[in-house]
Amino acid sequence: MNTTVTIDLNRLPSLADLFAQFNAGKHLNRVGNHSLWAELEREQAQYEALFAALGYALKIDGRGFAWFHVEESSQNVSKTTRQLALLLMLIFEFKADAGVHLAKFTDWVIDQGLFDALIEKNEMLLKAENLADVESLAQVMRAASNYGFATADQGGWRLLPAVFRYLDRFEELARKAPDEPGDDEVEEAEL
Amino acid sequence: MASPRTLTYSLYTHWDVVESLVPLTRDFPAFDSQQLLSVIARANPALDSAQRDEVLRQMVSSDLLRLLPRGNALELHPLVLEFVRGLTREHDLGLSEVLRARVDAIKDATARLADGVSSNQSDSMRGGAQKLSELFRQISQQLDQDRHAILELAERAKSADANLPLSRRYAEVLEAYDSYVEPMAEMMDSGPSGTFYRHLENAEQALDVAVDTLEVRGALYTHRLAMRQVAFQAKELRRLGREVLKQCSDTLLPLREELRQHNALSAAISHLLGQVRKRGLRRTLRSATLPLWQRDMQRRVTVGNEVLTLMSEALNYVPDTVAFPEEDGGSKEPLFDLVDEGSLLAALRRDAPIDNLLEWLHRQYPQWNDATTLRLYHEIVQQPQWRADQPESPVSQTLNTVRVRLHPHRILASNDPA
Repeated sequence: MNTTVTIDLNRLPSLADLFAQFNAGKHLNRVGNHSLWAELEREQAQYEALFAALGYALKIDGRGFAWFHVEESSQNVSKTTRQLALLLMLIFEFKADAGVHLAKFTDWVIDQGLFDALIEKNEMLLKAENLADVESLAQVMRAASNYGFATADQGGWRLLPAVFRYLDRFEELARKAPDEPGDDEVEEAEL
Repeated sequence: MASPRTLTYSLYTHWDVVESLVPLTRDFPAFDSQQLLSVIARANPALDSAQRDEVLRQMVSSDLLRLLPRGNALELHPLVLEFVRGLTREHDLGLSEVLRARVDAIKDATARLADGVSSNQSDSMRGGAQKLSELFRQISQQLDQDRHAILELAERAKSADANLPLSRRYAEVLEAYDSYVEPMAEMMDSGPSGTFYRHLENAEQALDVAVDTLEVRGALYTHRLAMRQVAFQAKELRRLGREVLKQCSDTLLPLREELRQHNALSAAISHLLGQVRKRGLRRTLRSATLPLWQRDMQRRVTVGNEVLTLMSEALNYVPDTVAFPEEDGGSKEPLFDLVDEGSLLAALRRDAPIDNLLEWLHRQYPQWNDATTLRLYHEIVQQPQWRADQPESPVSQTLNTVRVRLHPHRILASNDPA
């Protein structure tokens, strides 16, 4: 039996804004954009149906962020996501060592002082990834800011709830066997 | 030793001071007189120094404050301390062992009650019921105090300085969960290992049997009522136990889980960073395992500045004015030369031999255009009727407008006899 889904576009006044955000690879955060989030949450079913029909997988996380899910991405995104993952791990390790509550990461200020401390503590590791200077780390944070993982604030940045995507993956990866068979043979090509 | 009435009256009179002192007893088991005077001053700012001394003296004489042996330090009367803590809900968390001991004691009291019923001894029945009543009261009181102690403990942990190390902030929470909530949950388990409900149920049954026995026997109404009230206490205690356990778990469990989550995440990150240090970032974190996003590049083609310049130049294009040459109306030279080929050939035949055919043509017909002269020259030399040859050395021949350098044909004679 065919069921026809009727989508009332009058109820989706922010459709263009939302699509532009998601289609640019950005994550929408509840704390960053209340009005868009409120509409997305209110018309969640409609938006999901509409975007699915257009071939996009809209994901909405209850912790307050949403994005277009993809399984593959460009080389540039691969590089950015890897560098951002490393920076986030270093920030979280630094904070955990200081005994700070990790779940409250949205309160932290990511500024030059923190970068200096990270570089001092992890110089070898960052050098290996060509990230051992403040400007390179700031560049990674700027990219994070572009894609909705952080927001510029008081001369630095604050992390946004979309970072939970990384935290979930970190726990997931650590749970897996550390040395999977054939792990080393498959090298990823990178520009 | 002061009488209870004096003590109570003194507590009433100096309630403000005592209320301020009770929270301080967590940090100071005893106080010196200077500390006490400053607390009195804070509680009663209107008093002068002599009046403050008088208040302190009254509190000591009424036994609200007691002098510790071997020193001048003063402590709050322990009964007053307990009483005020109970009233102001400032109790510390009790010991789960104490609770367990009291719950276990229910079993003995129940046995004593059952013995009294079976042996038909009213004293034993009454004694057992009183013991049960006392235990129920103590357990209820402790559960209620513990509930407030746990709520306060959670509040302290949550409102503590966020910069404190997490393990320190939540140390009390973890300890309370492990040393109180878990043993209590185990004790209140409805399964065979739980003692709380089993003992309470037995006690309730024994009390019900005792009430029935007293009714059958026609005992005094007051005895039966007392027994029934103890049975109600048991039922109420079951409800309270369930409620307190749930409230304590609900309060402490999220905090404990939060800490566990923190530990799980920091352990995962440490593990991954260890792998990155050993194997490099690319081999540890494959991009497919990390969050990805697709950026649909909006490919917008715009015209560059150079092209814009070209376009604006094209738009304002003004063609260069090229002055065409004036029409040369004065040229008298005819466009076409009239050639009388018959007379030409006759003249040629007449003048032959001719050393330089081109020079001859030009001399005979100087009015011709150079092109005509040259065309006829070539036509004549190609005609088979003339015997002609060419000298080795070239010569220059000036015509009307051009000068030609050539090996000039020489007409020797005509092959045609006519």
